[in-house]
Amino acid sequence: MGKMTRDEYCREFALMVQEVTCRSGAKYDALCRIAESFLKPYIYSRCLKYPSLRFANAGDDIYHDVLICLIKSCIDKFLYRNGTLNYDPDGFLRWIYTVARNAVVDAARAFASKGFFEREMVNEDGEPIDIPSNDNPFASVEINETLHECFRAVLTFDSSLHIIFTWIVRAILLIRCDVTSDAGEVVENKVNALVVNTFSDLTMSEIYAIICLEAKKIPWLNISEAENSRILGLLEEPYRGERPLGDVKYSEFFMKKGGKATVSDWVNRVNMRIIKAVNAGSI
Amino acid sequence: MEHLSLDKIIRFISFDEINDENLRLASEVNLHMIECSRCRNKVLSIQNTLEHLLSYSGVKGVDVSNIIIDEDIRSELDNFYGKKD
Ligand SMILES: [Zn+2]
Repeated sequence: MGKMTRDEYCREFALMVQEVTCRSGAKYDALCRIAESFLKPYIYSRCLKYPSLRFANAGDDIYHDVLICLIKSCIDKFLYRNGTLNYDPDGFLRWIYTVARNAVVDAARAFASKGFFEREMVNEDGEPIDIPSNDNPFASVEINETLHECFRAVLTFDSSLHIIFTWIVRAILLIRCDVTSDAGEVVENKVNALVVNTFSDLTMSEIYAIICLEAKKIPWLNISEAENSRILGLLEEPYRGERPLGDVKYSEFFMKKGGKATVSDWVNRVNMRIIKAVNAGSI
Repeated sequence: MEHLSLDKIIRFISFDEINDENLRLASEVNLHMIECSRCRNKVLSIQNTLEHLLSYSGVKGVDVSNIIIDEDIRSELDNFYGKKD
């Protein structure tokens, strides 16, 4: 398909708006045609420019991801981002190019970091390495297996959900971010600050959604059906007799000493319980 | 109006295949988000945080400047707008 003319594009844009807002069932055909006309050639040409993305199907894979991303975010990130219809064909075109641009950058970075998790976890001889943290509960045991066991155990702890969630999202950040190369104390500070910066404004149910979505990608973070139902039930319970716990913002749980110190405190509490469980032989 | 369940939001955000079932889900969630700012904000903040997390991972300092120059997008758009119908 050649690139559309401006008139053709404006007609397709109008049709797209009609399709994606159709009350009897949204369709995404015009959106796909717009993406194919503009983004496919753009993505393929970017892939050719970067040696690591010249492998077979890179362009196809990235284009496919972009298409899915547009279907999932055309309403909340563009057409209705302010609550009313944002009828802006030119702005829309700029936006979809930006989505495509970011997808190519992510793909290039993901390719370069292939095996990132493994590299973080093992040394040159393939031996597991410790996460450099003073009170790291995984220090003396095989890391992947232990992580799996720890997550399973932490999810069942009877501590408050905000404390359990803190431990889990912090572990996800610790593994995702390249902070493990720093000295122990720096890691603690950086990662606690990241937890605060990333999650403060989110509600408890949003944080749980993120944990579930991350769990799909992380083999050692499993949430059983039973745990999932238990947590969903807790999120629906009223907090201080008012809103459901799921609607409460994470930062509302912070103590007076501030977000970073609170996170550090909660993580230590969970770590202590893990160490106890390890000593008792239940992990 | 019944809000989107967390499970539905998670399925919507995580689907990675274009098929009839997922398109039906996308239609349902997207149409609800047009009417409901509460669910729209919820989906948006989860999507944004996931993107944020993604940006944390990967090898730092991977040079992508030779593939992506923001000027490129501008020149794509300039070409398009300069194009005669
Ligand atoms: Zn709603």
